[in-house]
Amino acid sequence: MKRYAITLTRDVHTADDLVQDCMERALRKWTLRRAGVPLRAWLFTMMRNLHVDGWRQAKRRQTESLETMTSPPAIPPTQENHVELNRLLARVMSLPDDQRVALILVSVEGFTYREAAQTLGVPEGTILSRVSRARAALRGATAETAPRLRSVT
Amino acid sequence: MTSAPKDIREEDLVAYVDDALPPDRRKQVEAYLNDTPEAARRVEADMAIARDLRHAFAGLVADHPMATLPVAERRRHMPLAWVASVAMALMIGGTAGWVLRPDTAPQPMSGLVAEAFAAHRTFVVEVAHPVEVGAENKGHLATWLTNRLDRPFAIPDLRVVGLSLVGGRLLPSPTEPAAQLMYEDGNGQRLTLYLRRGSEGDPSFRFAETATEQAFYWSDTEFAYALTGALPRARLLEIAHLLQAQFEDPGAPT
Repeated sequence: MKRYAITLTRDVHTADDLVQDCMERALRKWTLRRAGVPLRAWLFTMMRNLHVDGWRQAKRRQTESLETMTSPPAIPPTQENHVELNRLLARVMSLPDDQRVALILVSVEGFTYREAAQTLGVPEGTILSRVSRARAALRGATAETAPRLRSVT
Repeated sequence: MTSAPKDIREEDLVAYVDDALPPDRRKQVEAYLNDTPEAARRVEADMAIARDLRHAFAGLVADHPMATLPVAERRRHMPLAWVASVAMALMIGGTAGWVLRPDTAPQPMSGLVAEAFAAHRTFVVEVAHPVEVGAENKGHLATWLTNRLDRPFAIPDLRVVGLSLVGGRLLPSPTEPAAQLMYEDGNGQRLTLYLRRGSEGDPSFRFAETATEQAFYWSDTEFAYALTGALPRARLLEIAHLLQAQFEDPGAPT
């Protein structure tokens, strides 16, 4: 959940709040959950709705610039390959929202195209083309900034 | 390969990376990649990116546990009425609407539950040293357990059900190191979560009890978990659900 929250918000602290909000709403709505909907898809759909709501409100109020609150996700220097991995993270975070979310659901969260389509409410083909465009962008960027990542297994 | 692969399209290459092709099509794509070094390089690059992404996100979650600011400070807008609605949800939730319906019939106690009960009884009564690493060092606790349990580990946040983290400790178990996390409610009632590697991969909740405590236990593809406390069964189960939702399955297909 935390990973998906970071994907949506691109901000570590906002992501914490989003997870918290989502858990609160999940508890309230627990009994409304339809049988047969996988737990993760249900939670992820809810989280994305919360995120979109919050983003709309912030935009309407125009009180704070979202930019100034950003603490972009980064892994600490204690971790192996942190420079390369952080560069990759930065590139992912700069992808358009649609592409980023589809890519992370499929590549990191292990959703099938079908589950991702269900979660985002779009056809499977759309997921596939978003993943395709996201990969093309990352591949291009990776090639530009050689040396390439060492393989981390 | 002789079967001339025909009509391999962008979708096929994308789905190949995600292992989402039917076996027949997958074979055709493999043949195509064998004959087309350029496409093979591209697929390899995409796979490396996917692997690095998983690695990067695992690092993010393991090393940025939920912020530890007090509830009041971070959740200014949480109305008190909310607590009542959670309580309602707990009551109703305990009896209806579960997809994973718990098997509440008493079962022979598995090794995991026996270990969890023993650890629970040993440490919840401690006044001076209930935990090895306290909640104030939550980040350190997460990193430490990540290393010792060899899995990405974010400390679950149970504030939403009125439980604050006391801390955690590493414990010996018959197989690999185990961990215990302790939580406490406003009345000082303590709950522990015991987890270690080794599982039957059974996500459904099972129930066990002794004269004084109850436990719900479950597992995912790599880890087994037991939540122990002297709480009403419905509430304990609700918390178990919350924990299961927050734990990333370290062995889930990626």
